[in-house]
Amino acid sequence: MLKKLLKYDFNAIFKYWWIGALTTFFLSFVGAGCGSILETEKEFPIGVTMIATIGMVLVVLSIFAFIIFAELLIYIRFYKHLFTDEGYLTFTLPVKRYQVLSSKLISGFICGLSTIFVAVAEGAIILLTTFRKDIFIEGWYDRLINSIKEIIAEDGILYLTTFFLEIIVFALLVITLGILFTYLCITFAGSISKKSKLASAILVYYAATSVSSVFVYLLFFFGMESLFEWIFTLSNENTQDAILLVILLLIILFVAMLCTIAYTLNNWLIDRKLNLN
Amino acid sequence: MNILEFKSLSKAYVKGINVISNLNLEIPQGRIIGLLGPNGCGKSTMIKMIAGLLQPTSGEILVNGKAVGEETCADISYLPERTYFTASMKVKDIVDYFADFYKDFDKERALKLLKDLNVDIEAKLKKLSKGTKEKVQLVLVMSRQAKLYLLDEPIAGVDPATREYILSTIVSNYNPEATIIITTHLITDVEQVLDDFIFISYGGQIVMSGNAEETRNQTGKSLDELFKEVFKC
Repeated sequence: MLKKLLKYDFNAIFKYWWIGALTTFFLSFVGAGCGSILETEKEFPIGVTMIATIGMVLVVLSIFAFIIFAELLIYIRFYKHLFTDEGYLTFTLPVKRYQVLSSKLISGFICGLSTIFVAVAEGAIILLTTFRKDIFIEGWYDRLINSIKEIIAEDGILYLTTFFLEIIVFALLVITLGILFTYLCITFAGSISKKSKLASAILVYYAATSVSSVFVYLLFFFGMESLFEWIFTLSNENTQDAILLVILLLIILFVAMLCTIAYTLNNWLIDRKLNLN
Repeated sequence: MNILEFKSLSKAYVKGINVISNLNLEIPQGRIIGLLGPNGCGKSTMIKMIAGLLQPTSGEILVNGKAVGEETCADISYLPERTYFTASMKVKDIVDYFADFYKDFDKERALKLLKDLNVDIEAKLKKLSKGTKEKVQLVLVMSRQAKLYLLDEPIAGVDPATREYILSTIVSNYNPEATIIITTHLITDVEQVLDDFIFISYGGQIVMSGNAEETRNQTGKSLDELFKEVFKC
């Protein structure tokens, strides 16, 4: 049944998503063209330069708009499918509640990841075309490979592989947590409020985001800063590397734990506190 | 065998104020039952709890001997008092949706009924009138070979011609082994199709129940007249 739920969730999200992706992808080439005009040594009339500047700004804004659009697609699908009249069908399907949540999570995760890839690709098209003669951009690939070789020579392949694996897992978990956190806010608002569920969801989201931002600020800017200061006082570089990997692993475990809590709580609310008007 | 059992069922939306209070009820297989009562007496709450959309505050609901969950959803065909379709879907998409999720869904029968009703299956649901949407929903719900049909206010807010169509669809697509529970306060219209009736009062209390035909013969009154007597303001 999860496959069937996924089929409909993917269809519902991606039938709009690809329009945004294709449009901004096309616009990134327009942005690259505008960037080339701005960066070239050739003199252009002021009108052309102005149009190119406005064009560039609009293209960059459209990429940000696409990211927001993709996020909204995920969350609107979740809200509408579960907490509006559509919920009457969703929750009477012969499927388990956790399958409904998992389907929304997987489709949202794939959509989020695809959006990041597309946005990065679009940014790269604009940057690499616009600043291709720039000292920082020219030969970027060779410089990247050289830096990696240097790190391998200094710290070893095992360290580098572990570090990148941890970074990738961390990034994937952060995307998952972001989606689950927003879902949880919507579910919580959908469970407690009888009317204006959407307004309540937005309110709960901003309240929860504010509280968690303060928590993250305190944790990272007070706790982590002192920890990193202490690590860099250690003379042995191998010990420094090992401690960094362990800290990163602990952060990953912490985020994974938050994901598990958010998923479990979300599932419990849907299963036990469902409140459709 | 009972298709539905309520055991000491209570439901309170606000702590201390029960919409349904300590209700015990057994509903047998193969009957068309009218769950009749005034507005706000808890009919829809009862139906939603059977469908798994609401959790009882206390007590238990058994559908075909099983607690409400994924398995009972497969046995129940539920028609809510509102349209629950995604507006951007086409009629044929929603037919496929039902065929995908419900093993007991008869797609050919649904398509035939929709054709009889002159519903364009290529049309998007948002383009259909309220009455047509309700007909589509009813066709989908009645095209399942479910064990229990829950029809919540199926004829409220529709014109008399549509009412007649809805009731004839219910009766003509009725599987004699299944049970249909119809909630409504429009008793005159549904009276003709009911085997049994249950009068529900505020607090979800059963004030009268029985076989519709026998009651009419014994009292010399229609269910509508009895209803007016029982729930006289």
